[in-house]
Amino acid sequence: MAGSNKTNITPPRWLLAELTYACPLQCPYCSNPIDYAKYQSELDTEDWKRVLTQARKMGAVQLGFSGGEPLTRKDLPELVKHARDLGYYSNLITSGYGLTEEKIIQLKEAGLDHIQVSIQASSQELNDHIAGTASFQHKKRSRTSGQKARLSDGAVRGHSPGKHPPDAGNTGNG
Amino acid sequence: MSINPDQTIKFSPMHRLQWEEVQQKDVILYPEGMVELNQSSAEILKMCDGTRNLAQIVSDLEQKFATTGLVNDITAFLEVALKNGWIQQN
Repeated sequence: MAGSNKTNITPPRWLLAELTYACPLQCPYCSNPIDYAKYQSELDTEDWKRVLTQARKMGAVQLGFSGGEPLTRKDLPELVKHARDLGYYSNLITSGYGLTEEKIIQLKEAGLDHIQVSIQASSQELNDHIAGTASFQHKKRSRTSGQKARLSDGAVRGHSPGKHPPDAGNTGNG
Repeated sequence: MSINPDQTIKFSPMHRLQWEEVQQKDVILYPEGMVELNQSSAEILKMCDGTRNLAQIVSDLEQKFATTGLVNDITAFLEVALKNGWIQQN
């Protein structure tokens, strides 16, 4: 009978850590609060470390550092290192804004495994229109920098969050 | 794509093989994904360290578990692993 089967709940595999609301983009589909500038209080470094430790003990193994824009957190390399020490597979989910080659190398050395760059559309004009920020060139550069830093082959990937615009199919996933 | 018996086999540098304490099993980790391994497949993959070819992996595992006749099972699994990109040959 429908609904009568008990679901076997297994330990969590994923932890999505939304480190901050702060973001240089203003995508209309985002789940961030519109008035996020009013939210000044965030979990501090020690709190996040405690969260990561507890979730790892529960079984989480895939970790997403997201936001907002996680790169605005100055303690990101420290959190990445803590995650690596705990055995997480760490993914950075970023707009690519501020993701320099130097930053990628720093994060890789801290133990980051994978970077996902959001791409709002495959043309600069539409991408920057949806994102509300001239960000397309940053995203393109972050891919090149990731390849140079040899984070891993194909480890800097594009993804199109939220409602996909009709031309977002060919944004370089892989 | 199939296993070349003359070449050594190594685990993919784009994946990570590790023991998960909570689940009590070895897993393969990759972007946004995880493969849960049974003990046999984990033991085979741990042998893929870039120093052994197929025959050496079979021989070392048969010795480790004091058995014989593993060649077909190991070959079949390594073909799957190669197809999935978990292992590489040079």
